Amino acid sequence: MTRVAVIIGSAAREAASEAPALPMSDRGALALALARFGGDARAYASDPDARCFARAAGVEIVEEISRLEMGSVDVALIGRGGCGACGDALPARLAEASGAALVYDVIDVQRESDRLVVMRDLGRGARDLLGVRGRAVLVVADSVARGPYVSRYRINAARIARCESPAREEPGQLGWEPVTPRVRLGDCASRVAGRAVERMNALFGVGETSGSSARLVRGSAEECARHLLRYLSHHGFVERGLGSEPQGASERNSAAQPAERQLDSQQSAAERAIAAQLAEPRPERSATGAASTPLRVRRRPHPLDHRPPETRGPFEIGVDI
Amino acid sequence: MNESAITREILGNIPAWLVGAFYAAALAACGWAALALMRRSSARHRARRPVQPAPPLGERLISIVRYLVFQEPLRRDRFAGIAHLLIVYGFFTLLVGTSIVFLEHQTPLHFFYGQFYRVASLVIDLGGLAFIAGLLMFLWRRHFGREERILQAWWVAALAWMLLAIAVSGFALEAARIALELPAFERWSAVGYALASVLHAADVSAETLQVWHRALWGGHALVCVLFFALVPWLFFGHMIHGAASWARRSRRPIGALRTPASTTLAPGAATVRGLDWNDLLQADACTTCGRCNAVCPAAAAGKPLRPREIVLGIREALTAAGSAADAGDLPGRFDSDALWSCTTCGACNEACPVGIDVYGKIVELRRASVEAGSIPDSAADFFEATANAFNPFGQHNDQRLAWAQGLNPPVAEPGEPVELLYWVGCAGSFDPDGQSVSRSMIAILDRLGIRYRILGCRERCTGDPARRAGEEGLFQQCARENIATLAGHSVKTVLTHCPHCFNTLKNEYPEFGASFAVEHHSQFLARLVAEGRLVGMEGLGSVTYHDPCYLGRGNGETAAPRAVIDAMSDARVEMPRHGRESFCCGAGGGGLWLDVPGADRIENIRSREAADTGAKTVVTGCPFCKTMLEAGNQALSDGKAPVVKDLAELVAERMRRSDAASQ
Repeated sequence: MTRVAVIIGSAAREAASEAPALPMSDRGALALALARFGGDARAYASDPDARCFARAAGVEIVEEISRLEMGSVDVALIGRGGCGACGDALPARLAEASGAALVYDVIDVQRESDRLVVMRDLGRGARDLLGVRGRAVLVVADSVARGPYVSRYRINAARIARCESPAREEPGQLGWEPVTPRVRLGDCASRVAGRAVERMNALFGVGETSGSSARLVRGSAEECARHLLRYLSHHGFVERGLGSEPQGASERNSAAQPAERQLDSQQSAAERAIAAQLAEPRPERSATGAASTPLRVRRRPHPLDHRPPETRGPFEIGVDI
Repeated sequence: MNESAITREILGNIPAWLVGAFYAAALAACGWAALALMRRSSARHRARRPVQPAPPLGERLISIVRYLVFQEPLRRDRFAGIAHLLIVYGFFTLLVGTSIVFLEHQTPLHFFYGQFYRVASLVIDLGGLAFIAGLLMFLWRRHFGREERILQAWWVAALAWMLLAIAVSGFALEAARIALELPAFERWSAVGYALASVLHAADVSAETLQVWHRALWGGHALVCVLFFALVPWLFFGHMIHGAASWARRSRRPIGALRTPASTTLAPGAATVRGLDWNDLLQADACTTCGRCNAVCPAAAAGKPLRPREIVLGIREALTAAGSAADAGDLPGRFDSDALWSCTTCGACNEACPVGIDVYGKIVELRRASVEAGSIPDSAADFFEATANAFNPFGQHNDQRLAWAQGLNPPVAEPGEPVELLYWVGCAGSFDPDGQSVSRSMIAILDRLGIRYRILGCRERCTGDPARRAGEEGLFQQCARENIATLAGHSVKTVLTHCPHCFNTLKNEYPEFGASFAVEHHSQFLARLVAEGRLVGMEGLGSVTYHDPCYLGRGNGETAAPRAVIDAMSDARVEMPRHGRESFCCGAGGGGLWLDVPGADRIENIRSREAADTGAKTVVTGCPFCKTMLEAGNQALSDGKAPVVKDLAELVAERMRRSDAASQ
């Protein structure tokens, strides 16, 4: 059984007059998790709105993000809102902490017998197919296919059904241990835009966007060499395992399975009825289930110059456990 | 001649075994029909959603009697109205006549003789003639007419021919009976006597006539028994359910949607049990006449929606569900593009002769689709925009006052009591076509020195597009937030130029605790005209008026805008479809965002109609209609397209011109 964690969160308001909303990538991450992994998925979010949304979308186990234990997760799907204030650094840290492959701009993922086939959006209709073995941290792109709509009634019902119990609200012990940042966060905390490669390079402190000295890796020669090896191994230039893992990360990541969420036994009958409804399986979004309006046609990808979208791969990446 | 001799031997020449067989078969058919009706009723009562309150019993009974006697809803189509009236009157006459014969034969009562016999014979024959005439009219239209709305199903024609067979065989056996002796008093049975005279003249023997009579009686009885058995089924069911459906129809304005009557049951009809039993009664009442299809703008534009098929689909779903616990996916029975083609204009409801709330059912199906998450992306986009930016256009709500730059309309301070609140609406705030209407309204209000306030950036979408597209939860959230804002100002009257806001605020918000008067700007301007405060506006050229669905049909307001136009122009011309029978522009029900492709576009059809009147200006009272008609004008050839204006824009223009002239 693949253990899947979906990390989501509401994005900050773009204007004072707007309500906080769950970004498309977070909705897409939830939809992908439910569609591809079904009941194996658990959702983690720092804000109650996102937790209610996840519950309403059909995720059975929804918890505060502090309960996330990366050691017990095989696949983490992360949305833009899930990255929160940490920006791209959060998935990078999670990948590092659990020794997982890190892929940005994911628009689809398929489970095969011993690996995941991840589709990465390269922009302009081009995609990469990546075969990932072992653990994976997948950062979902905003261009991911839209999942089933989650109605306001379902969200309100989830709120009424106390999808977040008080015990879960309290910030607990961090399930995953943040390692010492190799790069200072600086303004990259709020930056999750750009192509996946650029974002990855920014995290490693290299690339065109890292002109600022804040992105430079400062450390001993050994430390710098270790980061270089990680970078090279990530891109497949050297064999995996040459770069050593951060000390103590794997030990700290072994933790107990989080308890399954139970509805409050004191729930009223109406709340139970609503909860039962939410537990009912939602119909599949079939080909005929959604109207084929012209707007659907305008959905991505947008091939340019009459060339079909280029799909490369699959390239094998990942960490064999 | 002795008066008591003026009668006839009932069931004479019919063998006792045949009479016994007829009574047994008739009893079995009636019993079977009654059982079927009870089962059907029981299936309807398994609907999980509580039924909406019905009008009082007395009102319902009066409504049924009026319906049966006057057939008012059928008269809109004169041909069909006359045909149906002939059939109904003929049928009831024959039914009463048969009952009289039955009473005379099977009870100790003895009254079927003498003068009563003569008159009854004449009336029954005339009833039979009317019945045949009505059926022939329908059959002629079915087989030789070219109306697309006619349901081309073999069983409909078969049922009509069956009824004709009953009537014709009745006359034939009457003729055979009379021809045996041809008594003079039977002249009162005008049709039977005439046919009998022909038989007599043909010198048909008595034995032959007896055989014919027996055979015709047997055939007549057989078809009648078949008819009894079929009464609960197919379109015969409307005889039982039609009047009840009409009597129970909602008395609320057509524009007012129902609020789901349960808080623990998810909105929408995910299965047929998600409807209330009145909805199912209405589905059983459908006469398959197709008037809804004929007036549907989506169908006219070649989109996949056919309202009748939605109603019949619900009926089939109920039949399929029967007593099974799992009633199956209801929205899945229909093409989803059909459900999303509806503009919720209410033309189907207006046209339905048995009072079926057709578009209410489509909205229920949309609600179920929304709850299942299976909706078009464009719908999800404007739902998200409404939820997050508080307007379906997805603009930042703090830009709501951008339209008022340079006008400085008075914005209500928090907590300030407001007598008259001008509700600008989302189209009036963000859409360029609507913004021009808002500016005109401000110009009128300021020019006349009327004290008013606007809400500015605290105004939010009323939730109308979301509700009609099926997002009931989002609508209720919008409603509660807006009502709280309005209650904070103790608003007495809301004035709005948007019929959608008008309808929602007036008819739907009271269910959530709103208590203020709502006025559409056409009513407001008409009042100013009547009070003599808008003068010197004459001189506008030829004008035609497009009735917005949610003002004209939805709320019955067709006079006020015309009164304002008449104050400006003496050359108002009407489009063929106007008033309550107006044709939609295509923007309602979220149609501005949900654009299901068809062979044509609804707005193009309407623009062509407006252009065909030859009017230089087409006036409307809705910012959505204005946008759509202007879009439709793009498809017209150059120089033919009339200018599209809102009522407020015209009034503001005329006021400016009048002021300039007076200076």
